Amino acid sequence: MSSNNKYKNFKFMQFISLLVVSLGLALCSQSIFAEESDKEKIKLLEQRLEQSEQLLKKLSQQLTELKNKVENTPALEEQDERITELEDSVEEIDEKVGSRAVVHGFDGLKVDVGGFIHSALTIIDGENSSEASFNRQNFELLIKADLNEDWSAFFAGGFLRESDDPFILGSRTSPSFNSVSKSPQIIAWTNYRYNDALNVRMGRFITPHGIINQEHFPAILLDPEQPQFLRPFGGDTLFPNFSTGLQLHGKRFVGKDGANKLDYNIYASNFAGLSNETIFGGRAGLTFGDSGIAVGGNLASGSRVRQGLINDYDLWGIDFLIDKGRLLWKTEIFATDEDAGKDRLGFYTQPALRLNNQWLVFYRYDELDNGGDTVGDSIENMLGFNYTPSSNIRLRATFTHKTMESGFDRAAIFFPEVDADIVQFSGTFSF
Amino acid sequence: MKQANTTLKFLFYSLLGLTFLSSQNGSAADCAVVVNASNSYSADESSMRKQAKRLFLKELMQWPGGTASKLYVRENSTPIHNDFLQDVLNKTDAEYASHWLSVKQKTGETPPRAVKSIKILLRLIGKKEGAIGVISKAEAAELTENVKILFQCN
Repeated sequence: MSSNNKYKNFKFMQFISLLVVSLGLALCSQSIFAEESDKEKIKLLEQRLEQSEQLLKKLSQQLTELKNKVENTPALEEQDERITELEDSVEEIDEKVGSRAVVHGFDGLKVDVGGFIHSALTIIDGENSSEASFNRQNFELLIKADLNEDWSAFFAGGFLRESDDPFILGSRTSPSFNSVSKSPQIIAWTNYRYNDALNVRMGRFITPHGIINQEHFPAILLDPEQPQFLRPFGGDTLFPNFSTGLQLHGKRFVGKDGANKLDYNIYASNFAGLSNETIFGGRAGLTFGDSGIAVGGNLASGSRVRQGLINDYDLWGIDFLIDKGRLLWKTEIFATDEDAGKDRLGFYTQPALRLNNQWLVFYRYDELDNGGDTVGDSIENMLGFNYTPSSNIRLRATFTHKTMESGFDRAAIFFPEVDADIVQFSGTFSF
Repeated sequence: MKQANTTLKFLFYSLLGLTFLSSQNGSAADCAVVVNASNSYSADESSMRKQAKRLFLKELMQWPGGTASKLYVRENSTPIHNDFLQDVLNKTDAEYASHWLSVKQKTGETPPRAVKSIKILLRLIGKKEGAIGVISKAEAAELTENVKILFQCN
């Protein structure tokens, strides 16, 4: 090999060595730089990991909170049920109120308003003539207000278009109808309830005697004419149907295990037709457990005008009720001991049979001896049907055979016995 | 008068027998009467039943002890309500309606509030001290801590 070639080889080898060294240096420097970059990345990753951990903790906390919330929140099903009821209520209220004005009571806890319309057609076949008339078209408005937990007030006002007693208006033999408009204040009392055993009632109230007088309202009466001793409406044939004054009343359960109900009323009041005389009276009633049997004793002492004079009287009476299953039987007897004129006696018994939930048939024997203020005793035998297609609609048909016994009037003129047949169709629609 | 007396006697004897005609349905009733848990009234079941009946019919207005009652029933014609009428009040639907018509007209008192939803019923009873209401036996599982069962229907 020539020296020239050796030189070339040497240079070549030198070049290769330099190249290798350069490459080595380059590679070394690169790995050094890469190492530094990894550290930064790791640092960055560590930071991110720390952030993630914090985020996870935060999320975990939120998750726990949400879980607690969910556990304490009513189930979807429950919420659905509540929402459905609320929607139903809103729809119901909307249907009732709609765009109309909402009525508010001035004051008090609660005000309830109700009432009824009562209509009747009466056909009388008298001894000498027959008459027919739509003789009752009555509207009564009832308002009850709870002033607070213990005080309440009740009002019943009537807008009545009705005929008076057809046998007094005409005569015993030729009954006659009139049509008179009246708007009486029927009831207006306030009641203080100390407890169930003691209530104090003030104002105008139904005189608390017997069964039917206390029921009073046509909506619940099988026969709206009521027994004879309670006629005329608002009168005081044996005792006033209504009184104005003060009444104590209440109930208590007595006997073994408190099975029997004892209720009482004691009152001091005026009759509207004789406002300066006071009537004292009361009733005590006992209901025997769930037997449906109840008996009441009544006493009163008062005054009334008879033949233009004030007459004192004492009253006693017994009422007896069976209300069990299909049977509804009411009986009352009242008698007076009058200082002037003859004593008075009123008696009826009214058994009724509930044929089903809608139909009821009843019979009533009803006798009144009004102490000679009219001629003879008056006896009614009544057969009637009630049809109640719904609880607030009562339709009735009654047939009454009425006998007015013979006797003398105040001028000692003799009147023979007369009969009359009365058919009445009536309906009471309450709300 | 004699004729009238004979008529009365006949009616008396023939109708007296009808007092015993009322019959009762023997099937088990699916209802329970519940009260606010703070209600301390306690008695044997028979007395509790009488008390509940008198309250629900507003023959009584307060619990023994003087707490005013707040009444809740279920909607008319539902199985719970029918069972309640039969087992607790011993009345048919028509008798129940007739009772309230009479009470409303005589004193202005109105029937207990009817509640459809068991949840709302339990909330109302749980809130008011003198509250009493009716649930089905199955609904007893949903009782909250402020409502307790007074007695179960038979």
